[in-house]
Amino acid sequence: MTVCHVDLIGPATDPCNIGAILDVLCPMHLVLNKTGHIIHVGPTLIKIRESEDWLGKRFLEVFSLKRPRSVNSAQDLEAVSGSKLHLQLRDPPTTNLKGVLVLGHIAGQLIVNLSFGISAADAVRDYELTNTDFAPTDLTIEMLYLVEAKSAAMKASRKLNLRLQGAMIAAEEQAFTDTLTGLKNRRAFDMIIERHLVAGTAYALMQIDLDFFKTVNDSYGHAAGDHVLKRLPE
Amino acid sequence: MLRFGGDTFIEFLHSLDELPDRARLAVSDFDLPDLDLRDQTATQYSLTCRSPIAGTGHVFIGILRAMADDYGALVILEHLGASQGIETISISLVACEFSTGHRFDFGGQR
Repeated sequence: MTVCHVDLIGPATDPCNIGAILDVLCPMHLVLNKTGHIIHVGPTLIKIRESEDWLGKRFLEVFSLKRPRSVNSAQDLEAVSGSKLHLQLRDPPTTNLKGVLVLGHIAGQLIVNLSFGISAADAVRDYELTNTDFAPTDLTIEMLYLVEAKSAAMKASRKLNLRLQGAMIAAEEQAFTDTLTGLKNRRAFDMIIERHLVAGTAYALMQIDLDFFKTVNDSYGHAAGDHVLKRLPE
Repeated sequence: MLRFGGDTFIEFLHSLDELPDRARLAVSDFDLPDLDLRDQTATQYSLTCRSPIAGTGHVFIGILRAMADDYGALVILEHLGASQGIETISISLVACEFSTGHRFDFGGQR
């Protein structure tokens, strides 16, 4: 195997110009040299931080690596190639990022690709990103669309639920009320007594009998009888 | 929701084909008419919509007009009639950035 001796200053020294390719495929990538310094950044990353915030800085100076925790120096980076990285930008806004690192085709070079992961919506808002900041194959915008669509559907559903619940309470109230007198009916009585029996609470029961009510109906008519029944609870 | 179709009105037009699938993702029993966009030139498009409900084309003219306004594009829309349940709309793009349009945040409102 031949080892290319390049000064690793920038992608200009790379005849394949991997940076330009990755700018399209993975707009959130970084190319690191063997000392762990950033030598190229994808366009979306330049949108979230100025390019001077990236270029020439040490990767671990810009990011804190949350997981795996074993990485403390540029030499440790190679060992975690291929595994999932949890990163956080050190400068505010301290966005959380997911990443993966691979060895570049030039000896010593590392390529890191990043993603916003689950905090995509916050990041897109914070950095005012649009669909053009993601690769055409990236599903982030579709995910954001789904988040919006689901919350709109949930909002409509919640509104409908509240309305149904209101209607149910009204219907229940009606089912327990005597329509003529507005008093609680037999169904409500049964339920209340049942509740007291189950809970074992003390209660008093009074029975009122209306004497000679039939004569009111018979001599003055049922309308008068209804009137008496309506006034009775008052 | 429709603004997720793209960053510009033209991108939005090209996203119309997948609109029925998008709607179904959000609400599974939401059936939109089949839409098919054809670009004749860079500024001249036609949209066909196939739907069992007559007049759907007019509804989409309304939607396109509102979306053009939202993107700040100036368009001339014309209903070209219906045949066999397929309605055709002609879309002439006069200016893509005619006005500033409405601000849209892909990350949603905070």
